[in-house]
Amino acid sequence: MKVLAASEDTGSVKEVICARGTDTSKKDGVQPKSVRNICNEEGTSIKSRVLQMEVSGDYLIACRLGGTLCIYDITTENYDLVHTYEFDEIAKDDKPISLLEDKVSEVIIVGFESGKVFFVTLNDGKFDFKPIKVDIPLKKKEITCLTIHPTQPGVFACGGKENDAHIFKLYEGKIPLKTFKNADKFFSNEILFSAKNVKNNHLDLRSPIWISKIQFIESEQQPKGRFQFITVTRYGQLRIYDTAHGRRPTKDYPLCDRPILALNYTTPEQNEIIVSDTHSLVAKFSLTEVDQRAFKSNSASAGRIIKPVAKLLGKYTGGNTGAVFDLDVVDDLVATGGLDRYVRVYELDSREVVAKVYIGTQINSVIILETEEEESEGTEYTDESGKKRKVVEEEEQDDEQDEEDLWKQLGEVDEDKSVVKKKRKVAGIN
Amino acid sequence: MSSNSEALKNIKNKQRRQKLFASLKHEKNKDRHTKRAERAKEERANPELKEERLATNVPETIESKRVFDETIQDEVEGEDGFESYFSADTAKEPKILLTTNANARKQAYEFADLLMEIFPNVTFVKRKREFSMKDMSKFCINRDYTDLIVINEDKKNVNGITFIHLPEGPTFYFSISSLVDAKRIAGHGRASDHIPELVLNNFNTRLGKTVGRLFQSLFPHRPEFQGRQVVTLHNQRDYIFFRRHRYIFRNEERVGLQELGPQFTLKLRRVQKGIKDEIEWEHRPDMERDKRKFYL
Repeated sequence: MKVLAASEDTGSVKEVICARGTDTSKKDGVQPKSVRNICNEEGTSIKSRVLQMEVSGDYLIACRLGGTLCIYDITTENYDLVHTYEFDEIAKDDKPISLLEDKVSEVIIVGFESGKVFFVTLNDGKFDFKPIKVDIPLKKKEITCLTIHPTQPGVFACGGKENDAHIFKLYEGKIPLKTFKNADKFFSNEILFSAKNVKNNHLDLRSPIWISKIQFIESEQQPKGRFQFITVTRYGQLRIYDTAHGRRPTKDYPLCDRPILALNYTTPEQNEIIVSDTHSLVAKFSLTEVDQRAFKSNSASAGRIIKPVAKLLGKYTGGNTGAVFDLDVVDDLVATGGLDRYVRVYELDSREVVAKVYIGTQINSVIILETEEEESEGTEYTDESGKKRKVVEEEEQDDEQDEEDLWKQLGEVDEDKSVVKKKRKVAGIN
Repeated sequence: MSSNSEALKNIKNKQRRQKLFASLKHEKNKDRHTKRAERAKEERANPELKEERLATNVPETIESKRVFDETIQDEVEGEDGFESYFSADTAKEPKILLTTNANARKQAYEFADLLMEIFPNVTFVKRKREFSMKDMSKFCINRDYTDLIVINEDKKNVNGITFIHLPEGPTFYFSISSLVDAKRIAGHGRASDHIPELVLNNFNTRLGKTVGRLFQSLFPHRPEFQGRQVVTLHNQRDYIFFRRHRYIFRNEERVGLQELGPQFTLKLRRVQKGIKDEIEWEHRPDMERDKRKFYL
């Protein structure tokens, strides 16, 4: 399989090609076929690191810190840089938070923390238009997540710190190419839905808002104008919204005690999600099954509090010690990458580690490019400098020899030396 | 030996058995000593023998049987939060702010006193209850500090220390044990305020290298050799031993060492990205289940 991981420390992207069963932590384990740096043009460093990555057609699109969008050709061997877009009016500390694609009009959309959204058209590899800047139509512009509706392009959802979830429409249907020449009056700023915070808790305290990821739930029977979406928060909650059922979430489940960082669906039916938190948790939860009495707590004023929790379907461990920043799910595989400098690939259902590769840098984003197996397995590890790792077989043989000797020695002990027990004289009877 | 121990077991009288055992033990010891003496004599006459013996007879230790770690042989890639200290063009002198936990007791201040002597260019500020670690980090960044150190005291014991590298992190939390004051070290010397030399031992893995860089970045990169002072941070089995010495070259071959103190032991508990943000590594009790696996 082929996995791309955006490395934090160097600003480049690492391409990992490995077979199933790869484990770099074992001395004589299967080693990856290759781990190499790509997308490392001159001047890339931690200051221009890749924060978001996406594959669109033949192109790898990488959004870098500092407001640049780099387009690489994945059909070439070395992922040649084809074009670089610069975003204007971006402050130094403004971070790109999402990289989306409108598949209908083939437009790349980049959202920034400050609420600026850029539309970029590749125009079939001609790259001849400048990006268009649009501000999100909210009073409070600071957001931490932005997503696009999968079937209705032009509809976006966003949320942030003390900025509850909103759905807004920037355009309808396809973006015509001429918009990139003159974008006047094309983009609307219609807010379709704004969420309301959950009710105060039993102590009448307001629950704080800090949405970390947001995703639409796609369903075919949905009437127009009704949206369903889920949010996960920095306070460890999962919330399910249905715009036909009012502005408050229809479901509010606590998932964990720590901030949730990544969110992804694991099934095409969108009834299971996989999340990661700032510690080492990577877990799969069900959206439909619920443990009715999973959250229990006691309060002096309100008595016993019992809340339902989305059912935990399993944790993905595999020796993970750091926060996981990004998850990518393709078919039955899920790739994770984070602060502990390993790319891990798990099987979705069995939750077993399929591949574990040390890549030496912290990871901001991962993508599974290819899932299928390539021919041979168990290749000898060769890294860039051509060093080879030797499999130690001699030692094992020695161990076996020693064991045999030991058994022989044990056999030599005389068996006739059994202890003759004297009968004890019991006083008082005779 | 096995026949001897069999024979011993058959003696029912405890005192007789003990006596016999002691004599056997004595014999064995004596035998060993004579053999050693003989070997030493031979080796004095022929130093090659000693070299040969040392080369072939290497005892197995937990360290030598350490679980394979692929991060040891890998080179460090890219930049981290310590880049501003290490790169030549932006090289910054360390400037440290030292404080304690809120409502600290005497022991914390005493330990702060020790640290003030060890680190050059350090300022102590009494902790105010209303400011969190994140607040303090912000104030320190505004004042160009490069590190914030917070001592943690609990039940009149100094039990932890946090290092926050500024402005971008990372954050380290260590637990402290076996703190020995200089006064209790026999033949200790008085430290001078020269910038010491630094010895970092066995920081091998990727995580270990990060920890090593932290300690490096706390001392200015220009030791004052006339002070002849060395600070040693020796990592063994994930415990980091802090020692401080003064050395003297007595002649061309002999070097004298005088311990200056204090001594203490650190153990890494947590590394966080940024200023107390996402966990990069955290110690879990089940990490100690495998005795041969080390993280630093």
